[in-house]
Amino acid sequence: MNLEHPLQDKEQVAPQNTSPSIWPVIQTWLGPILVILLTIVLLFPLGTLALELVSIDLDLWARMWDTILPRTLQNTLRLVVGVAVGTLVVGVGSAWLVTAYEFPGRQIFDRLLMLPLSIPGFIMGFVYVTIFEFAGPVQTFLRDQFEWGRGDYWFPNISSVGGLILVLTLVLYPYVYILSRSAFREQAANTLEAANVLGFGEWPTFRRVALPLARPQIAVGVLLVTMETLTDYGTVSYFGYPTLSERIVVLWNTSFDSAAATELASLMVVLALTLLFTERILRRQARFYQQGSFGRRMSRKTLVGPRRWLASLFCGLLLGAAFVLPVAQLSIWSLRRIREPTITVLSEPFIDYTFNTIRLGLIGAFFTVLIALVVAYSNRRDTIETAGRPRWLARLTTIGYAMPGAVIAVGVLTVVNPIDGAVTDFAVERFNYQGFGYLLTGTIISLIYGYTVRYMVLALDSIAASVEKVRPNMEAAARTLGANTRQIFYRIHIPLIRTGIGAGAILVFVDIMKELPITLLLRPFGMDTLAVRAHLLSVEGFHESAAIPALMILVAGLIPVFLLMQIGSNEE
Amino acid sequence: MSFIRIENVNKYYGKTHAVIDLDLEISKSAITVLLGSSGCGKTTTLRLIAGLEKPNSGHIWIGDQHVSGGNSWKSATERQIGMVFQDYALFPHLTVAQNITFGLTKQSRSVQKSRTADLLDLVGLMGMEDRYPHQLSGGQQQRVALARALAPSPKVILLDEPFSNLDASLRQTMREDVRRILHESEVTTVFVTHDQEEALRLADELVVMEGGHLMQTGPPEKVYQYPTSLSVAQFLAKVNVVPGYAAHGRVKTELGHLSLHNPALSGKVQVVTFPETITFASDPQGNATVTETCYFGFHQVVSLKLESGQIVQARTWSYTPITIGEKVQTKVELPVVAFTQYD
Repeated sequence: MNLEHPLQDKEQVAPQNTSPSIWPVIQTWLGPILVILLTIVLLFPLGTLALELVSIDLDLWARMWDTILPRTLQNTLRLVVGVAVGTLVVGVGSAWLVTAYEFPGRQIFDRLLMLPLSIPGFIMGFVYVTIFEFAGPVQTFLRDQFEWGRGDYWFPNISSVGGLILVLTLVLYPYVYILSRSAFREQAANTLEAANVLGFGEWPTFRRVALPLARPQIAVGVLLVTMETLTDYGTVSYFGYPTLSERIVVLWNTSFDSAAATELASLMVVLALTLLFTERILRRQARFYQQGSFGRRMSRKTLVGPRRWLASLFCGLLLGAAFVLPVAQLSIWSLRRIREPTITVLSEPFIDYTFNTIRLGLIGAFFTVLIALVVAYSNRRDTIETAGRPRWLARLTTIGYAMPGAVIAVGVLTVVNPIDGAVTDFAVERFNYQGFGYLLTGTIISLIYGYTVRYMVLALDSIAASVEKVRPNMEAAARTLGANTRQIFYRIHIPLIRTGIGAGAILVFVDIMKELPITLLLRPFGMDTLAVRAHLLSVEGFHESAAIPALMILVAGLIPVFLLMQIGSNEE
Repeated sequence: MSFIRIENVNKYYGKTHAVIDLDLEISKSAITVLLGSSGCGKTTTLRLIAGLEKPNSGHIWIGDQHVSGGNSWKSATERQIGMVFQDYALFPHLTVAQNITFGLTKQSRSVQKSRTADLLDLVGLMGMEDRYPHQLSGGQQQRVALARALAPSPKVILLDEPFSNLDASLRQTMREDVRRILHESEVTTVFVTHDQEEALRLADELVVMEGGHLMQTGPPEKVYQYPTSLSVAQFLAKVNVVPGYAAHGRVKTELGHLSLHNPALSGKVQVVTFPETITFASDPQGNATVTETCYFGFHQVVSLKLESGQIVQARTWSYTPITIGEKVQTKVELPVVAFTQYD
């Protein structure tokens, strides 16, 4: 907005407060400039990767096309489709059951079916494989019971695409469940009753009215599942199932083929951006779809006879498979591990990696929240001058969330490596100093950088929402009541944004705790976290040892789910 | 006696000239209403008085304090003014009592307590002190906002469209209550609204603004009956404007040979007649035909087609029998206001 005053033809206006000062211009533009700077910093790693596609290395792609690429793409597609279909059926089905019907335990299931959201895929993966594999307790029990030997019986192979799809479906269905449940809830009773009056039975009403109305939200849910599946590293790597995201880590970390890893990562950036963009559009549509929904919520139909028990059984089995079973199994293993007389908990660097995890989580949460605060306040639209600020600017800082951790890690490395190289060269040339180590690569700085890029959205969403609660007129009111800037900050802003900051920090902390690929690729040498430890131990088959860190991650992961439930119950 | 004095004030937002050369005096212990459509500069004027905006030029005095202009500047924090906002702007994390005492930090606990009790009594919210704003209805929030603004006993209270978010019936009662409360507290009040009826009902002194300019000020009945411009007349009421020719204190129009309120006028003019001043009686040789009636219960508005084709509206007692298509003769009861027509 132009701040220059059109005084040319208004001579009578005394210029007492209109002296040509640069300050108001700075005041108006400071916010956007800060946001742009931070956006550049946060998007730099991904931008660098996207630029790789401009200078595309055709030979490399040809070589990859002849070797790993077709299988990787095929695998990725198969997995994504499988998990999307699985979560769609399970998520929408359970959501419809708990919103449209009354049956024993419904109220409990309504909440608890969100719980599996707290379990990272790689933990669910190793629990399932360990339980259901040939040497696992289930098959061993069957063999002992019926005195079968190997090959005497058929049992589904858990270490397969099917098993992987099952595991990811159990972990990710809550996305679809939560979104479609809220969509079904918002549907006005009138609409569904209109269908009933027109002679539609239960199933046709669901299929031809309720489902189409909820379609945009369901689509958003499935899209989120797709993003999570694409970005998953831990689970697919445990299953030894190469997908794009898994290949990037392996190429970089094991084959040391950084060129190929970078090319694949740039492909992922484009893919993720497409998904992100689609999600935005779908969300906007979802809003319009539900606009006319007001009035009574639909009344639940009470199920009678065996159908009520079938409904309870379905929800019970789902909750059992997706939450109770893994939690129980991990608890049993942990207890067994702790009780082992020869090895104590302390004999492992258990304390060390717990401490590492907490330290990384705290530092990461601190910086992410700090940047989110700066962005949220800089982009605040609180005066007439700032009213026209675009919202998309702040949104740009959050696209890291759609990127696989591996891609972000590779991006960070492509940014920090040259900086480190330049600094080292400079030290050698100017001061002939050889002992200069890397400033950034393999240090906690690049690790935190990666976390911030990835989890910005979690902090920004909750903080921006709380900053928005401080309406400009509240500040004006406080000022007319005699409060100065400092008092306004302490008496209005702090109390109102406190919870937003807290929630944002917890979300980031917990996600860093669960994070795997960024940590694996960027961590300082020898620095283990709970997630890294659980992953490495489980890959090597030490499931009892892996259970302890896994359980800790799971318990921490419950916190945000409880927050989510809280929000859900406030809305009722 | 004026308490607030605004002298030659200008305010720009970017390229928008929001307030233009404003001169205004606001009387002590009275309710002054700034009336105008949105974007007319009334809210900006209010914020300039509050010290929430800085004028680009001009002077403002509140009481004997020179609060703005030249080298003087007192911010909103220092002006000791109470303000009620359109969105109430209550602090959502504070209870009703804490909201009310927000501006009383310098007073002792016991003073705060008795003041809160007095104000809750004044606005009729006794027993609600521990509620949070989201637990209150719109009207109750409005009362809390008013009590909060009055709590530090300001010399001036500013209200920015405070009733625009309330439904019609609540508005009516709030209007009466607020008028009573403000008069009881004998505080100098500036009230901003775009609602004509509200302005006329509340104002001791009415100020009409348009496009950043002050158009007319005066007691509401004077401004309403004797507008000094066609736009003020049309903004305040649904008036009939008919062309006429003025000479010697009278004006010739299709509605008859009428006496002028401003007898000095001559030549081609536009004549303003209020629907309630036009009467008519059945007459086969009359100058108008009834084309439509709108029944409002306590009165009715009758559309009359003149010979030229122009339609004027007359407001009559609702018991007058009227037949559509009937020929009538009109009569205008009072002297009319007219404005020179520039072609």
